[in-house]
Amino acid sequence: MGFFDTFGNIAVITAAAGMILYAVIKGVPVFDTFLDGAREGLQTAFRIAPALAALMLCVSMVRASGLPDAAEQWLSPLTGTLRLPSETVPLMLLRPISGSGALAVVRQIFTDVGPDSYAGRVASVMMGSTETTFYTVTVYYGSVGIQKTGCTIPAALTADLTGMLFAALTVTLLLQA
Amino acid sequence: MMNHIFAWLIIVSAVWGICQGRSGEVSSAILTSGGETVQLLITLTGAMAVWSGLMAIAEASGLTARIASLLRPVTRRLMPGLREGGEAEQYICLNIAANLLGLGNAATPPGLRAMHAIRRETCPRGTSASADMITFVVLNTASLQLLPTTLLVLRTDAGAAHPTEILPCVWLSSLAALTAGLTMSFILRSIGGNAPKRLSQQPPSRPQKKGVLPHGIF
Repeated sequence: MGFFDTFGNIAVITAAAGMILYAVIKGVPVFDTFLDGAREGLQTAFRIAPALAALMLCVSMVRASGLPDAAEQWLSPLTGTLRLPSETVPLMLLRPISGSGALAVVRQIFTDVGPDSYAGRVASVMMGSTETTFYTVTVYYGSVGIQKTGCTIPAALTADLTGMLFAALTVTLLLQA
Repeated sequence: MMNHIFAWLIIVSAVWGICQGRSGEVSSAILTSGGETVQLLITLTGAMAVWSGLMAIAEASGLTARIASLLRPVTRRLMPGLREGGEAEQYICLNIAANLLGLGNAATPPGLRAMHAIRRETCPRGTSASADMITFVVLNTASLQLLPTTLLVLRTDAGAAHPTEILPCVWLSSLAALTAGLTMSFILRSIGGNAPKRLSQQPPSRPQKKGVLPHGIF
């Protein structure tokens, strides 16, 4: 476990320092470029704020109502065999539709059971290995006016489902041992 | 779609919460969610500023373009219908490189340009997606991030003992997702009977139309 941790940390450090080093060698004004990028990042964060507020409201209401606890009992035969933590079921449903919603669910899971719990880890991997599929498909095809997307949606959802099942599998095999 | 989801989640959880005698929890959720959003945003905004700054450096220094050129052999094999060294190929590689480096926002502009170029090269007129187009979109829905920065920040912020320990799991799961997605699209296309068509290698239909038009006009 310590190995993966060190490995991950080195990946983060290499990415940050490596980008700077490469840019310095290429003679890029790193500080000014950083400021431009950071400004853009702040604007992006500001743009997602309204959607995040809406979905935080939804997700925290659903959580408080106790609905997930009821759903948990219904779904436990299925989630149990696949080793999917019941906390991640709302994440699996919301992930392909709304990025902000998924973020809100992950945060809720972290507050409820902690990021180091089995559910917290699986939720993290699910979040990191899947995308907001419907949004991506809409934006990409919309931009070129394609209406018949063929097998894109089934294939993309297969990818999402596989990523989520593998999240439980890899966390079980690599981190929970 | 979001209008329905938003409304129904709230209505159902309100009714359910009251019926289950959890009105206290639900009302406090309504009252505190705004503040929690701001807390989450403070974390996210700072992280986005830092990583967008770093990504801008990666782009300006040509690192993204360098990674993109390394990806060319792979994309050529995945999307065989595209012109070699063409515009589509270039933008596709840039899009994947930006995705790999971890900022989805920087990946969208080259991604959309790639879509236009793919359309020009594989299905200039039709309204249905070409095989290469499907492959490219599936590629983009499978999240090929090496560094899911937002997630790592969220984990650190929540007090994870080892925030980055999940990275190998994320990479393996992404790879599995991508493989499954591409395999599924291939299978479905074969079943549907329109296996990858290399439209770019068919004789272009434009000259005929040009020959027909003047007759109609004059």
